[in-house]
Amino acid sequence: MTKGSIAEHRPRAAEGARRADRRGARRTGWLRRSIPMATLPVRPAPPQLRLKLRTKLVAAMASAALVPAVIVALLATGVILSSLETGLREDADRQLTVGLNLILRSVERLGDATAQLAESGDLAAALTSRPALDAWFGREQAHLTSARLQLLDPAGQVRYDRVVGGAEWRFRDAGVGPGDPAIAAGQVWGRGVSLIAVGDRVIVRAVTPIVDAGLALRGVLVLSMPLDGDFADAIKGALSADVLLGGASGTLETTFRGGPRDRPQPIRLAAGDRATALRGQRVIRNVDVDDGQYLIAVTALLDRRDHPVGLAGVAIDRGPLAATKRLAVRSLFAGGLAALAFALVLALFWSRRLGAPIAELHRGAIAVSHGDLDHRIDIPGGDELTDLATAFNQMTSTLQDNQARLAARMREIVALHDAGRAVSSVIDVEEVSRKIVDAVARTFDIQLTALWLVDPSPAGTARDAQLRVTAARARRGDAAVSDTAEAPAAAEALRPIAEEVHASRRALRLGSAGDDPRFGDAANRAGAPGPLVALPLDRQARVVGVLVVGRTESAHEPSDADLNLLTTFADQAGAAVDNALLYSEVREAREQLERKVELRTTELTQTNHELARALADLRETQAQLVLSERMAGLGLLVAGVAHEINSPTAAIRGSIDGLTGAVARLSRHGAAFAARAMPAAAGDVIEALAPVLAERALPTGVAARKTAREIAAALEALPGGPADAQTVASELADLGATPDEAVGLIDAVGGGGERVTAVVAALTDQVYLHRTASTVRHAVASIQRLVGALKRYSHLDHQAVRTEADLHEGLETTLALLHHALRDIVVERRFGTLPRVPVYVDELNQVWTNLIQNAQQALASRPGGGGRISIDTTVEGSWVVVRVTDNGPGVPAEALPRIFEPFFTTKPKGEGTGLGLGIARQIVQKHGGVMRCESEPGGTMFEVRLPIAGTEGPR
Amino acid sequence: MQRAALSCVVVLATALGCDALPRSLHHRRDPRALVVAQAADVTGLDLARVLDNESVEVGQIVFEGLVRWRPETIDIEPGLAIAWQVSADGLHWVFTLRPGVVFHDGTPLDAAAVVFSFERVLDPHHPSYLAGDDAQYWRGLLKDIVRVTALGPTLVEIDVARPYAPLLGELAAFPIVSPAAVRRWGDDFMRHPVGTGAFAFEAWDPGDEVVVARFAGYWGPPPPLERIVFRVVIDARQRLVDLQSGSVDLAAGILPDEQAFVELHPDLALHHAASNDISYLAFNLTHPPFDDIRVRRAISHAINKVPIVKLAYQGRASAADSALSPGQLGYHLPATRYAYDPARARQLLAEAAAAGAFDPARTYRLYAPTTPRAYLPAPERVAHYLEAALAQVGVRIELILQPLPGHLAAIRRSEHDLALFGWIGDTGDPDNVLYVLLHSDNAVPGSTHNIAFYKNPEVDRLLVAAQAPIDPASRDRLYAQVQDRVAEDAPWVPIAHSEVVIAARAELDHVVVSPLGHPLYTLIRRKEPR
Repeated sequence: MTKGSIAEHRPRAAEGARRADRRGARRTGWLRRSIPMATLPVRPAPPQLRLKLRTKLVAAMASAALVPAVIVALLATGVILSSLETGLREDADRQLTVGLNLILRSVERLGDATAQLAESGDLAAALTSRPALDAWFGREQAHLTSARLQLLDPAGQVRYDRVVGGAEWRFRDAGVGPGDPAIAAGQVWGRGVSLIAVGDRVIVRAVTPIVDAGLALRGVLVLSMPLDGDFADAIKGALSADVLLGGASGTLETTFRGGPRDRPQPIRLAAGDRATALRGQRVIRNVDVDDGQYLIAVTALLDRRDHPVGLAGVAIDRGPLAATKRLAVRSLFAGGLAALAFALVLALFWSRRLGAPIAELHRGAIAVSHGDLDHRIDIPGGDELTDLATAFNQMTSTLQDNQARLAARMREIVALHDAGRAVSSVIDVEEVSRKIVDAVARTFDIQLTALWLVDPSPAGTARDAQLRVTAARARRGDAAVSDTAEAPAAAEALRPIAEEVHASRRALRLGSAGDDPRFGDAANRAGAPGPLVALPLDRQARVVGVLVVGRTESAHEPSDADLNLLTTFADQAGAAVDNALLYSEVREAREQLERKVELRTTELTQTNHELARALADLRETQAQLVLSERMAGLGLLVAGVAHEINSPTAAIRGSIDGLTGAVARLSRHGAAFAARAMPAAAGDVIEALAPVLAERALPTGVAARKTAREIAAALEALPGGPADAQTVASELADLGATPDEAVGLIDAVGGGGERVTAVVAALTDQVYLHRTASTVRHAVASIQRLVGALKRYSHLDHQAVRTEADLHEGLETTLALLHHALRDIVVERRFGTLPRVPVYVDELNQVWTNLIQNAQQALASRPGGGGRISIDTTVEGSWVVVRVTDNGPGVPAEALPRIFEPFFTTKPKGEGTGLGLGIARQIVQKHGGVMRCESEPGGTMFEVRLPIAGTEGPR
Repeated sequence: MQRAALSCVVVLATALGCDALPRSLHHRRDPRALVVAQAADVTGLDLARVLDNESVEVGQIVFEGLVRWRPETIDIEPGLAIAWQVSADGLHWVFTLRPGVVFHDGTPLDAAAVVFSFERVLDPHHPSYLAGDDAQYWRGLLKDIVRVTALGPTLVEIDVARPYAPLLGELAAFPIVSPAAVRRWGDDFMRHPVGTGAFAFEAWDPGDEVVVARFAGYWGPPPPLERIVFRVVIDARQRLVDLQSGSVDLAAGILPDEQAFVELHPDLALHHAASNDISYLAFNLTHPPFDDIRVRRAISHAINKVPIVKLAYQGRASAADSALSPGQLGYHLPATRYAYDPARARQLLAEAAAAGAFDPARTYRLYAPTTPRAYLPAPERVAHYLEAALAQVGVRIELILQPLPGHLAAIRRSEHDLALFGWIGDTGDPDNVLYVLLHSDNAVPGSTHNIAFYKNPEVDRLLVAAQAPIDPASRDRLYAQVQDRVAEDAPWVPIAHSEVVIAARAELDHVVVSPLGHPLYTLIRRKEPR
């Protein structure tokens, strides 16, 4: 079984998969996919593209060897052939130049010959008689080339006409006739040689005058020579080419085959080439004639006025070149074939060497893909292919091992899966048992399997517990596992084993149960004499049942893996049984619980209502507390303000009391002035002096006495000064007058003791009046200031919107209102430059009031009073920071974390509500700011940070 | 199939850059260089010191004058001077120099250089004075120049002793030289010429060749040719062979017999133009019997010029009546003409013999050069004709034929009774022909100009008078009188005015031959390859 291949196992796995499919495709999906995959056939490649590696190798090697060789050979041949071709063309060109020179030299020679003949001593004399001419001709003709010689008399009549060296027919129409321009030229000593066209022939014609010693004209000598095939033959010897000559029609006589009577067919030039040549350009062409190929070069023959009269050319036999070319192409072809054959042989050899091992590998791969994992490859040689084969073999054996393991694993997984599902999906004990037994029977090759369960006995011990067969399966004969009635009976026979396992709580493993001394009988009776395993179903430290698995006698002993699997089954089965047992209990318990929950819910709803009501009450209370804190703060303020207002009010009242007497005295002074005929100037001086003195600070006693002495001295020096100068001076000095003012006053009165006294008295009252008025004015201003501060503080217009405010203004206002309370305290303002910040001014004032009051109250608790409050303002980043620091005793360390809590206060009962700082912090937070406190013995600092941008905080 | 494979191969070969098929089948030398075959080596390259045709031809490329001839004419146009003025009395010429002109050595052309160029010829006290005979020619031509002064950097005044019309023509030929180069090389300036021309001297391998190269700093349009090689090819036939093989592009002095070959050859072209030259048979008037007018007239009648022109010049000439050629400024058909009339010749000789002025028994020495010149392409043949023609009328002649230097030397020594010679007008001005050849000033021993030693005070007077007026009509009248008088006196037999004949490769374009006998090298270019 453990050695079973995956092929043997497959039907069962597939069956499991199919069943799983029925129940829940999602959970078993992997099984359904993985199993068909293992059986996927190797798909063959499309047949039309199948080129064997060997074929490809052969093709690649052959072309790698051949292509460069062919290219190089082609190039080399091409270069050689083209340079041969070029050489041939250059040769033709050169030969044409030489040929042309030869022709023209012949022409020139004819001219020279003519001139020489004409000057040959006795020609002029010989002209007179025919015999003399014949004699002359006889002498001279040996020196002449082939030409027609004509002698004319000065009148232009032909006197002598002979052909030298050549057939008559050649020269038939070459000579001059009457009226020929050559004759006319010769008659005026004209000499020259030219080419002329006669018919389709070119004739060289030389003319020279025959003169005597005195240069008198005695006749004209004309030599004519046709440039025909014979002429061409004549110059051919000097050339290494054939000569072509002809008229302007384009028909050229050739020298291809020698012999004057065996003249070959002339060749005809194409019309275009003829036109080109007649323009004086050189035409170089290949032409085919009967006996071969020639390269011809042709150009025009021109007369003296550069008119074309005929064509001259050369022809070079292309035979040798063609032979060379053929040889080259043949060699190239043969070489190519040889190279191809060699490359093929080489390629075949190497491809066989390389291809065979690869084919072997291929066969191996196909065998493995068909499942033949026993296939092994043997490639000798020790090269990479051998390594590859070794690696392949290793891979195959590894694959084999892995497959075996995989099969075993697969089996376990399926069994576990089924068992697990049985456990998880069924809650009835009997059914659980059946499923467990089914799973075991399905998984293992069993003879008999049975599940024993312990019947719960409420107070029993393990010993007392009764074991009961709840499910059993047995193999009947060789047929499939059955669920027949005899299975439980057979299982019952195994009771001793089950009890032993139940008691020992350990698994029992019998190699051959039938032979066991203790349980042999039981096993034999049960019909399971083969290998047997009995496992306890442990559940939470107790045994809930026993699973017995008996295998057929022929089966192997269960392996460790089988045992593991069975143990896992046993655990699962235990859990399932336990679950099933527990289920009924739980159901009961749940019903009880539901009843209880209903009851509790009703109670809780009621409590909730009560709590909501309490919360509302609490909120109301808090609002009232906040209001009362504000009122308390306001009360403190009002107390201070009342005091502040009281002082000026008292001053005003005192002044009013004094005013009544002063007004009465003033009227009396007026009467006295009138009675004493006081000069008008005295009144003016008093009116001028009184307000000045009223504003002056009252002199101290010492200063007043010093001034009095000086005034007295001045008054005594005055003629007609007052008798009681000392008194007058003392009074004036008390009023604060200077000696000069005193003298001015006395001068104005004009002397007289009584008058002086009256004036001083009047002045004194006047000054008093002014002083009182000033006092009242100051008191009223003070009251006004207080009222203004109050108004600003409480913001009676009470805008609920943020305004861009100067924080310093709020701080100053607060300090002004608390001025009374801060009497004994040094307030130090360390104000920086702050931007205007958007704030709720009145709410923020409440913060400042709270902080400053706290500081003041902290200082008030100091022994001896006094102390210092410093207020710092700065900008830090995007914040404005206000710090209020006092040098009081500090907040106790244990209180510090709580100071912002509502109702927390360190003040004596009745002094504070304990809400101030909490509310202050709320206000600051509402502005998007932060408030914090640092304190230690000897100092407390509160810091308020407000965002310059004025972020709206949570309300 | 085979052809297709082959063409494939050819395409491959071409693609691979194998130059297996040259575009042109004609292997040529450097196409930007022109090779000119000259009949003789140059004698020197300082244009102020040479007279022979080859040297002048090269010198006129390297050097320029204050003025120049318009191509193909003898009209004067601005050269190194862009303008000039003549004072009312004709004695003061002021030339304004072309700005920005530099010599081949890089030194600038200024008035000082012009003054230097004149003074080295005219002022015996000048440090670079050319004392030798070779500058005598220019001293003679320019003898009327009193003073050359620089009026400013670009203004030059030339003062002449008398009104002098031919001055401009002479200035066109007179070379302006680099003073720095003259001071540096001294007498060797002959071998290191430095002028302002379109081509600068590059090398002279005596006896072999002279090379001039295009001057990058030339003020005018750059010439198409980059370099000109003047190769000495003495043999006329060899010149033709070289020409025809392509190793030479251009050659003068082609034998008349060979001109037919050139004309008929498709690769060659014959260029010709009427020339300002004259060939003549001079009588030595200091040698009796040629002091006798009858003898001179007799011989004048004895010579048939038409056969000479036809036979010795191959028709490339016209029979001459006067020293001036038809078409030249001042030409006049003389009233006295000597038609070919052997009978009249004999008669005149008989008269002279009767008077004891002519001895028919004596043999007279006729000196003739063997070196072909433009004006005498076949001197020996002409000499032989002359010999025959004179013999026909009873004058016995001994021909003394020698190359040009020997000929000149003999003439300087006045050895000749008769001399065959010729002249090419250097300046295009009639003065340059008539004055040079017929004024008594030049009839001095050692001179090669008035080799007839013809001295006629009337002619002298007329010649000098004709130098003064600036207007051509009055000069024409004066020169007509001169030509009539000379014809009457017959100091020599004018034979022919030749045509300048240049043989050149057919692929040369713009081959223009000036009447002075030289191709205009600044114009020559090659035709685009067909």
